[in-house]
Amino acid sequence: MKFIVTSSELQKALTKISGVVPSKSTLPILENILFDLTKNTLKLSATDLEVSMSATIEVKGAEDGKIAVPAKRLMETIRALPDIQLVFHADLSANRIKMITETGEYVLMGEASDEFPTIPQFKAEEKLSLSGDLLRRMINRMIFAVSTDELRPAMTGMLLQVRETELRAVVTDGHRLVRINYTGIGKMKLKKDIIVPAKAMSLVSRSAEEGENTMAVDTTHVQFTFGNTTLTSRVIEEAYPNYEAVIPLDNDKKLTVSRDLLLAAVRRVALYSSSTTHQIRCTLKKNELRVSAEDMDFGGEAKEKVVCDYSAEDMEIGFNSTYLIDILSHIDSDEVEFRLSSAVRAAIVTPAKQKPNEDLLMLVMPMRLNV
Amino acid sequence: MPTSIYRELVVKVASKIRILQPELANKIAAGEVVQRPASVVKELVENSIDAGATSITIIIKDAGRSLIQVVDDGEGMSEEDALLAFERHATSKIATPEDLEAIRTLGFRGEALASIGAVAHVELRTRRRIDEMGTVIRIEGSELKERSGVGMEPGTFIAVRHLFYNTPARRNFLKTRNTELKNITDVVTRMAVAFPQIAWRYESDEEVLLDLRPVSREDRLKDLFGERQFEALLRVESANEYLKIDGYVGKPHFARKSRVDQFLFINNRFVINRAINHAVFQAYEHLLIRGMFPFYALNIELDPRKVDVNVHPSKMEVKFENESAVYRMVLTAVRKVLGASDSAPEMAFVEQETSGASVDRLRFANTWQSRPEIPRSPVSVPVDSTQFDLSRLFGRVEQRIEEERVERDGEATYPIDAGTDKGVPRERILQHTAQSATTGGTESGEARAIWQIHNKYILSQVKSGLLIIDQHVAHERILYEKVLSQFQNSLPTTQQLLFPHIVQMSASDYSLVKELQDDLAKIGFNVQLFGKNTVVIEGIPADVRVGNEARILQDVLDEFKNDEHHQTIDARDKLAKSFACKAAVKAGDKLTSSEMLVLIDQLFATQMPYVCPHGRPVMVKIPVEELDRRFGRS
Repeated sequence: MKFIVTSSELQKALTKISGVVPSKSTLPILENILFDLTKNTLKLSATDLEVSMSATIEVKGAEDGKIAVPAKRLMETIRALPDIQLVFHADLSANRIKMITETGEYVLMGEASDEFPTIPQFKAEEKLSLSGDLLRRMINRMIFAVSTDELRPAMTGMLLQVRETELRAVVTDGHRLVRINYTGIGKMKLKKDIIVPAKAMSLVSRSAEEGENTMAVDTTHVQFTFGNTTLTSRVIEEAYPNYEAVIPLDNDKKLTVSRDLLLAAVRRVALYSSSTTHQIRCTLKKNELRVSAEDMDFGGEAKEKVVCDYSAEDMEIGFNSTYLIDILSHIDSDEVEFRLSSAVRAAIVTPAKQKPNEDLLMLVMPMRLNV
Repeated sequence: MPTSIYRELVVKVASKIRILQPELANKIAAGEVVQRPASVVKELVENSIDAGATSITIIIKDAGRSLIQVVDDGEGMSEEDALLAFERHATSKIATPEDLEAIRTLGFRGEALASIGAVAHVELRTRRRIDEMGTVIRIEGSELKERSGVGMEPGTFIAVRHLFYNTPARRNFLKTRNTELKNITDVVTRMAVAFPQIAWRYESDEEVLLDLRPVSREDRLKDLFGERQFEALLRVESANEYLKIDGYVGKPHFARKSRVDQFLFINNRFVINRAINHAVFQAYEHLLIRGMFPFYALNIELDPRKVDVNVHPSKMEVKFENESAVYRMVLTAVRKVLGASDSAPEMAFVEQETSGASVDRLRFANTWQSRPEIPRSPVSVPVDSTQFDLSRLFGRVEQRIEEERVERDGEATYPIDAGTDKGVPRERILQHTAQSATTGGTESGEARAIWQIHNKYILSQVKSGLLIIDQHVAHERILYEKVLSQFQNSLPTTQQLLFPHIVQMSASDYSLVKELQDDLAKIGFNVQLFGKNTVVIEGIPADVRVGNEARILQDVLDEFKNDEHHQTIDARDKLAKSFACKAAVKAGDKLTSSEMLVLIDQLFATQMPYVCPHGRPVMVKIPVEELDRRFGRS
């Protein structure tokens, strides 16, 4: 196997897919990137068995072949090279890889290509076209609230619900929930609910390109295509919790407050919250929100007053400050709206002004205050 | 039903039931009382003790199969009594039902001799001081074979030969010679510990295994376990109007992997009681590595009316009238002693000398098994409370009061000036420390003998040598106690859940949840009962990791179930542990001098500075003597 490529192009392609390569794996072969050369097309593939990515680049091919190359050392080498031409030569019988530059020669030991797991063959039923901006924006808005709890696999992924005129995405970790609806993205023939692992979604957000990207679904996998890069992920075949049932409809206490002011206040006050519980207390009076915290361990306490728009009856509600900070920093509108009912019921947080075609809703469970 | 038929029926049934012949009855009863040679030894020795003997000799041949002989100098019996003694339910020890309520003797059931007589050849010689002649009685399988007079010293001599000669099943079920001998040795050892005022001689196959003079309990333990081992024991003494606890417990690093060296006596009777055993174990808290058991020899004296020993013929089990009171008392007494002792393991590099234990198997395990990399002998330097060492300094932490502050600082050996040594008069150190305290510790840092090595361990000079502290576990201990106290001082915070967790439980778990609902709420669980063995978790303690709700609840329930003594378990304890472990400084974190000083200060303010919540040692002390020895100065 032999080809010539410029180091910068190879690096660009490697960077796209290297996010998949697991840093530590019980299967050492996964720490490799598969090089597959057919004529002048080099296909690079990486997988962690759940998510796979591949990218193709044009090279000057001399001799077809396939070999698995250790990802870490390859990446480090390519990154350290100036932008130059590079001869890649692999002795497939000895799994010996030689990269020759004008001045240097680098030899790596690879693995036979048949050791590398086969990337699942994908039979797309339907394709959906999505803009890179939308994908990125959607994922970045919500990925923070994905659960890491392996015991409830459904919640470790992002629920994507594709309807005729609407795309809906939901994540939750059991303490907070984010839901985004997109409309006006054209008519879709697809009607499907899938749960995509969080790792795949964050890779999508990293790789999505300007303009059109496509998403295709078959029974067990989802595939995203961005230009010459594809990402294939297993879907989580679990029932997603009935999130609609937990979004309260009758939260009638409305609070409107400046996002920046509240976020800054919470951040400061949180410094004085208990390091184990992170609890802060929100005391609501007419047009006044007081955020306070006290630290039993070290005897500190802090309070901030934030002007707001509130006219319902006085109430007190406790939150985990990290949750509140997460939520506020993922809403990009000047003002946010809280809709509350009681100190032990879910609070709904939304931007006061939604973006066009977008409906963003966040929900956070309070902490019961010890009075 | 016609009366005649009924009568017939009664006659028919009645005719099947017979009163057993006395020999048969005795043989059956013997099965309970005399299970093995060791039980014979126990019964006979107890009789000797009850007879007020001051010297008891036990001679065993072939692990008790061919001969068990017990000779005492007790009060002896008259001829009539000697004969009666072999009758079932014949005893001199109790007379009225009221006596049974307040047993002060070891025996009382009046079964032992009858039972032994039923399954062996027994020769009894006994003489009271007032009699001129003694009596000889020979019994074989409950049959009187000989009865005559004999000249002998006052006291009683009993020889039991051919044990189980007429019960082949029992004989065949005897264990190996070694096992049976070990059981006998255990019985004798227990008795010897319980009755130090009695002289004991114990021979097996002509070999003298024990020869003990009457001494104090302390000396008796030394005699039995070797003097060197004894230095690792701590005296326990505690009394109230209800009971009196007296005895010794081993230092944690002398714990062994089995429960062999655990002696619990109730009114000097060796008993096995799980509750008390647990109390002692609990007192060691995290000082013990999992699977290790501490040494202890404790005698609990209490009014015999408050305890029932008549639970089983072997009298190894007892029932307390108020078990939880006894439990708490033992727990407190032992914990106090342990807390007051210097439990920092000392390091010594010399090869271990063989211990002076008189019975080989009684020797302690004297290496710290989980830390094989530190070769150490158990007691290289006597830990003497008169020395200015840590035990003195930080022993009674709970009583730590401001007034002691100055004196403490004077004695506190770690923050002294690097230049001071043993020769400097104490006043100067005192002065110096007082000075540095008034200047607000401005001259901290390099002036003090404290270093961090490999960003992992803190070295500090103490009066008796060098102290090495593991920074991570030290911090872990501090945080752990901090969190625990925080839990106690404030109500828990509960994170409400978005998706209430529905848990299907077993019926017993469900009723446990029902019972503990309030306690769970105190920990921070918001649990609702839904009926049909289903509970709904609506909120969890705020510091529980997301997603583990059901598992943690289950863990808590399991711990409750596995533990009979509810007061000792605490889910918050688990939480505190895991939090402490996560939040503590790690090995590899660089610490400034002042940070280290604060760490050490805080560490010694904890209740148990010597071990981390997981049972790892926090510090190791190398005594100066050890260093001297290494450098050939001694």
